[in-house]
Amino acid sequence: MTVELRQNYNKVLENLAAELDISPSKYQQAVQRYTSVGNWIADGEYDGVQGELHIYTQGSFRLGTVVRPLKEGAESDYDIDLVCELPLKKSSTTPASLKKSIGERIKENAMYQKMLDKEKKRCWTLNYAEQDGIGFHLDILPSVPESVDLIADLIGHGIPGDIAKKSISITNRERENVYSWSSSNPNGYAEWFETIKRPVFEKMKIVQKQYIFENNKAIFNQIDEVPDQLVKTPLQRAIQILKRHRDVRFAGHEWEEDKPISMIITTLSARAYQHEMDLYSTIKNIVEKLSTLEQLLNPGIKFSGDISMLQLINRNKDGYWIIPNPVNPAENFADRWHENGNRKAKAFFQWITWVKEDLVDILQLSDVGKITKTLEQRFGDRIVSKATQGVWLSMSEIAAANAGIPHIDIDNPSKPWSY
Amino acid sequence: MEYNLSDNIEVQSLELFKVHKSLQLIEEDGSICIKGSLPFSATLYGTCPIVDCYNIKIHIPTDYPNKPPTTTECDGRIPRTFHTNPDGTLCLGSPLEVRMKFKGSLLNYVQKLIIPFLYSFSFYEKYGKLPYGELSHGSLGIVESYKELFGVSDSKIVLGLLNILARGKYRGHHDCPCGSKKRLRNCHGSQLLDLMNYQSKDEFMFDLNQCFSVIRKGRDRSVSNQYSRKS
Repeated sequence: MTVELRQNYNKVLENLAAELDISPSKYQQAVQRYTSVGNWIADGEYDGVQGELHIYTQGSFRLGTVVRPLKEGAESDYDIDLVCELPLKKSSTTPASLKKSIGERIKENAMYQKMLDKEKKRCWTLNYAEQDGIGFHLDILPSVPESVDLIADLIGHGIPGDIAKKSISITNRERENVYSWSSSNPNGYAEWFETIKRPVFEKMKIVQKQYIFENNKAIFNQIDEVPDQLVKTPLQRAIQILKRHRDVRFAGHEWEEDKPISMIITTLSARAYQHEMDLYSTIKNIVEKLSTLEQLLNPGIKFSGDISMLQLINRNKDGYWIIPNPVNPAENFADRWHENGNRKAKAFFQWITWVKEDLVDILQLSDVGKITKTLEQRFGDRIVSKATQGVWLSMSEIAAANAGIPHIDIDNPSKPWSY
Repeated sequence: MEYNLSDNIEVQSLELFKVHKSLQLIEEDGSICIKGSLPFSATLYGTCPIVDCYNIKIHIPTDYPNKPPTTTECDGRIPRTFHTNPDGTLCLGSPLEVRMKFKGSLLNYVQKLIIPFLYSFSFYEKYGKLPYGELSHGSLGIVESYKELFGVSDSKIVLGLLNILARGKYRGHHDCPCGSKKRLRNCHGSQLLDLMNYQSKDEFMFDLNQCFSVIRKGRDRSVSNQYSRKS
């Protein structure tokens, strides 16, 4: 493996993640859409509500790890999660009336009423069909601040006060007309994630914003207008690539239902991240740490040293798997991993092996053609050809460009023929 | 009529010369040609870079742009056995494919047909094999190119689809001949309608007859061409 090949491979991975990401113009469109809905909801009248509604994004859109979803192998619309937090005491309302009051307000707007999907378990969903054919599903999540008791409990479990105080209560529709509360902390999670990425983010911010500005002058008048959310650290890029890799690898697989959830991929990647500055090292480090833990499939194994300090995946003496939510230790992302003979755990470690083969070991091939072919199998021809465009250039080509010789990338060539 | 032709050529060649600076427009024995050296740098799907240069001559037919140009390589570097027609012109692809890429533009003709062809020869010189394969000679190659175009492996399906084009009998509600059990309009229909822009019924009839003769002789089994073999 040469230094040049590694650099170029890094560039290809960067481009690949950027292709999976939402484009700056699409991002702006999404912000406009959710800001309008947010304003509409905030302007409503709600029983007992005094003061401002707090409306903010959560999930991958907030974390900057959005990947355009695949549905049945085809690119699909973006999902955006919007938390709508009413300044109400949890004890002064019920989940049913909270869910209903937000739903009523959405329906007061004729346009939103038409876009409104049938009621979901936790949210109301607006479906936006956009002119460019790439739409949005906007999930609006009604919530109130978490009760004081529960927040105190979290602090007691070692969660810093300022993060614990961001906890909210969200509604669950168990069945027709039966609702319950559950606890969540999307704001706290985002803050936890940001703390991890911040040192690298600060280093990369200026250069990336400059680049985004130069390439999107139709959208931004000056560099300052480029939002922080468009700057991507290798951690975020790695998560985007891992998520898409998972979707493609498990599509049609017998374990598709058991594929690792995005929250697990995001949490473990962030925990394993060591502030690497390039994407290849980031993915390599994440995969190497996680593949070591595969031994947990053998009962009774104990880890010590660095790997146990990271609190990635644990298994208790009863064989249950534990991946705690970093902002709520009571929530276990792996609570169903032991079911069906640890199938979800097995699927997870199988996937890690795949990632290692497809994205890390591939560089040992030292063959640009083979690397491209493997990536194409995993991420699709079109997207990989875009990501590799102009990257695998040799010195002779750079010389050609300097000498003014036109360069052409051949795609879809005709086979020669003759009479 | 003639005036229109040269006017069109002049505009198109200016566009071409902006990119490919060493080519020039000349008149030779009463016909129009574009001649000169064609240096290029090319990659295939972003990989396998090749920088090379050929001396070429592009012949503009009198009924341009209804008919695409033809091209010869002037230094004898490409042997006559390598996909050249009996008249010495390079065979850039099946006739229909050439039209679909040419689309009435000289720049397209150079960048989507000539350079990919020259690239494949340079690649062959360098590595001893062809980068994107080749079609068999003659009618068999036509069958193969239609199979690829329609994405089917059965020659009889090619006949069925070509039959629609050759007779000009497109009926969207009929079953698609490819056996998908879908209606034509929901299957190969839009592709057929697009193809009608590139060739006349008679030309499709000609292709249909060629395919038919190959299939009747039972020759539609892939026979490897000399350049497909590793040397």
